[in-house]
Amino acid sequence: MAIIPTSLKDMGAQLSGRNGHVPSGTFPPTVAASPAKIRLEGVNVTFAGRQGEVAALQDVSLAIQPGEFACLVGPSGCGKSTLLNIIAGLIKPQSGTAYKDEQPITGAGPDRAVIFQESALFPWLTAVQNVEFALKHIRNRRERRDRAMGFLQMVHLSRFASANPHELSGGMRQRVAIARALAMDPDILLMDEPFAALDAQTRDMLIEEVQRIWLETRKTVVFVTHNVLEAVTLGDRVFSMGTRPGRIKQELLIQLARPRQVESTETARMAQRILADLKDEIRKIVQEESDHAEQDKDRGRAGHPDAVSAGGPGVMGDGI
Amino acid sequence: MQDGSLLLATKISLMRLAVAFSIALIAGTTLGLLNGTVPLFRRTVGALALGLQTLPSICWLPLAIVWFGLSERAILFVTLMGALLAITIAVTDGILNIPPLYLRAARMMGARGFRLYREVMIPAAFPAIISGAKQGWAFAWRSLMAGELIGVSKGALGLGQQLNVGRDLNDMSLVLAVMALLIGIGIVADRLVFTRIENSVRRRWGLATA
Repeated sequence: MAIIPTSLKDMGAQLSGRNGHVPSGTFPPTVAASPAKIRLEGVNVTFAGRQGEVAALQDVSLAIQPGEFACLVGPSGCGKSTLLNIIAGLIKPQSGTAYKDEQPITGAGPDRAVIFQESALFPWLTAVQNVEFALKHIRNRRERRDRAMGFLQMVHLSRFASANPHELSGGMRQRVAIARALAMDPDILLMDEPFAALDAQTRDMLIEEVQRIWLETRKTVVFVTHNVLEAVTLGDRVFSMGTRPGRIKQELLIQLARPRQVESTETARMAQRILADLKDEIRKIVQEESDHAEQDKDRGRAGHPDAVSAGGPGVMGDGI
Repeated sequence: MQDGSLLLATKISLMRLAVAFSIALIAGTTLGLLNGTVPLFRRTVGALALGLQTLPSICWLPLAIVWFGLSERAILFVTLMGALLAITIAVTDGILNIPPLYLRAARMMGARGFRLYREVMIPAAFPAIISGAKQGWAFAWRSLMAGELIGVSKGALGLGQQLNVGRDLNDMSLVLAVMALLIGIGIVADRLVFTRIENSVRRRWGLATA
């Protein structure tokens, strides 16, 4: 009851498809009571790589409801960050359309705040000035400062308001970035592996902090991660993605009570099940990457020997 | 030389430098910003700037004299040309090396147009702008001296012209005094102005300080 594959198709059949490709339309449209906050329709993105064209995203369609916490989870190279950037309006798909409130997304805008993997704070500004950057529409300086301080308080960093970014730890920088994103008062928060560069303890703490903030603000969130446990702890809806070509493999509703804890047995069990579903995918990636490594070696510009394991299960499974 | 003529000459030279250097700083930063953000501009005017930088600035003097006559403006022009291209090139590099993440973050927060230049690009390129200014200052100072030495005998006497006076009068002490003064001004400007600004920027950014 906790985990509901929304796809009517047998998941095993999906996973054992010849190249794992699931054409769009295999998922029934999500329980569409209200109009979707974010909707993607047949989105394709290709990048020109060294080995010719790479399909970063192939025929991706999805819908995210207002106020929902959606997670995109998948191994490196599955196009999950690309997908996020499309919603942010920072990347244009070659074909297909992304909609926000049923309006096509044409560019970046302050209605969609992005929190990047690295904090992207401006090093020439202090913590509070960074938050103020998002509040430039407020003419009155005092009011602007007060508002910025309020957002810093929300992430428990008001004591560090006048610190320069380099004086803060990685976790603190990410919290300032979250405060800055909230200060934009966006409709949608887009988080691109925001905790990937942090140590495990800091990450667990921030996961719960993000959950608390989300429960307070109820913004629509799209959260990209390679960590299944992170996705399960935070998400109402989890999209698991496959690679080469990047696509959505399945969509799951997570209906565990909130607030959830990272270390709870329920979330761990849930994560295990998603992981099990993704095992084939992971195996495929490892296989392909070792093939590539072989080819590279043959060509005499061999990649790093660790490259194979780095893209493999270690990435998917870490934190579990 | 107890008549205070060296003091006066220093003042005159520094005034000329200040005028030419300020213009070079503003024009060079503007050109650098255009270079860094408009690819078409970079491929045309920008490529030309790089070529012109190889030309010693004193080579502009004959042109300047034909244009402006033996005047103050000819000296200012040579000084300006000495600094302008060095600053332009440094600012261009600074803009092109801004991490794309900052620009994406700024765009995402709705900063565009003039605000993007003023509040993101210039501060993000500021370390490069300062080192460009430092180089530009040194170039300007050399060009000014060359201009004063070779070029213009009319008008107020700057330090370069005092060197010439020393030569004409066979006054070795004057020549050496002027040279010492030139070196002194160079060191003071570098230590008190540029290195100081550079260090405070580096401290703020969390880079190693010199």
